[in-house]
Amino acid sequence: MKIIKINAVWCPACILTNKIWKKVKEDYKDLDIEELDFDFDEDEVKKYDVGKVLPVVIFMNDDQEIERLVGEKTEKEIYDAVERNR
Amino acid sequence: MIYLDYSATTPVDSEVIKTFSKACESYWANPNSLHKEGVKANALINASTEQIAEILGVKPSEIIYTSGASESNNLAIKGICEKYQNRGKHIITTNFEHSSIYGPIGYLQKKGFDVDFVKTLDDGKVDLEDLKRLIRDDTILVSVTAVNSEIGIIEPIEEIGKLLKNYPKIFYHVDLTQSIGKQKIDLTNIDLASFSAHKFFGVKGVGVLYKKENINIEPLIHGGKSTTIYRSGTPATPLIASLAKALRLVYKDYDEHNAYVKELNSKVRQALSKYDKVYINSPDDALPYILNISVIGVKPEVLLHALEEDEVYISTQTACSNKTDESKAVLALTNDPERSKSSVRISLSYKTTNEEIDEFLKIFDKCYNKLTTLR
Repeated sequence: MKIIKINAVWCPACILTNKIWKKVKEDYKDLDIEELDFDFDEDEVKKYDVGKVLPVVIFMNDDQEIERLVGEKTEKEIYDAVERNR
Repeated sequence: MIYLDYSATTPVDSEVIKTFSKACESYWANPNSLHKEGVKANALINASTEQIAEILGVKPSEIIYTSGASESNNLAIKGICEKYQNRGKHIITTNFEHSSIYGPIGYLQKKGFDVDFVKTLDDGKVDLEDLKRLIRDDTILVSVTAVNSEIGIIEPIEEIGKLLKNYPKIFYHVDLTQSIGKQKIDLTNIDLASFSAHKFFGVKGVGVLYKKENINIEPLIHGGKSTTIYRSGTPATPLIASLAKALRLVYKDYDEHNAYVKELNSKVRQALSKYDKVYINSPDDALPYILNISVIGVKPEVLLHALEEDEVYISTQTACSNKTDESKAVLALTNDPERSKSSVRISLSYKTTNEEIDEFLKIFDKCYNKLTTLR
């Protein structure tokens, strides 16, 4: 499983959830996470049909999208999604 | 045209244009040049800086000129965090900030800084108890906006300053962008404060960062002394002189302006409250210059463009939250997704006339009936 995480520095929901993701990364050291910047990785971001609400976290399996988290999520929602898809 | 988007920007006052033009024509020499013309331009900058400092109640040496509030916010936040990161890497801010606060904070988070958002009370004001709980040994910066730009919530800036006085290792930055000219804030317990001229009938492209004398910051733009060592570049004499002029003008009849805008605000509130689908999101004690409302079931853009057809100009919010078009600030305040999806901002100034408000209310009535009966 691969996780594509799309953030922007000016987005408060991204700042808030990055804190949770930091913990996730410590708890699940084997996760393959690709961080994309909404403004600076424009070409890559385009591939994922991202609207104007950030952050967007996409769970991929064999290059197929299996789940997507859009916007501010709680710690439980994030951990549950990771657990479901790993 | 009925312009009700003064919180986005303001037209330049004709007196300010005169000052700007005069400085362009007669004070164009480099203020750092040693010849007579340079000295003359430098004297104009010094006089302007003294006037600004006097109005703010600070020292002239504490004024740093920038290109505007976004630069001032960046300089304050990155400047402090870079300079004092050996003391700690923890920042506290609120849910009601401008993107030029979140931008540098998000950037610093990527560089290893830890960020916390302080809780706010039901009226959107910072919960001082929660702020105390969040403060850690490694906290180096607290950044709070004096007035939220979307809703007009007034934060207890001076109370926060008094509280933070007990924590000498923490620097306190205040974003005064929406407050300048509309509030009088005592800067005694504030370490850094940002604002730009174009919000109070000044010219775009100039702003100020107030920085207490004994504090160091790392510049964003290196290159030696300009008007200060914290921001290099040839001093922009016309912009600086025009900022001083705009600030003097806006504070000249401050009490009358505020009382008058309060009246306008009450008139709009009262008139709009009678509509079933209209919710007033701005609290009663919000800054009277900003009135945030929701028309339930009507998308903000649809209302904006309907009013625009009759040359009434208001604004929608910046969307960056759970669902499309939701205002994070309105959601944080009202906890009502319907209201946060349909909020618009009407912003007034002391130059708004009663006739304009009467006309706006007529046009609003027409648009409201059209848009709400369509559904």
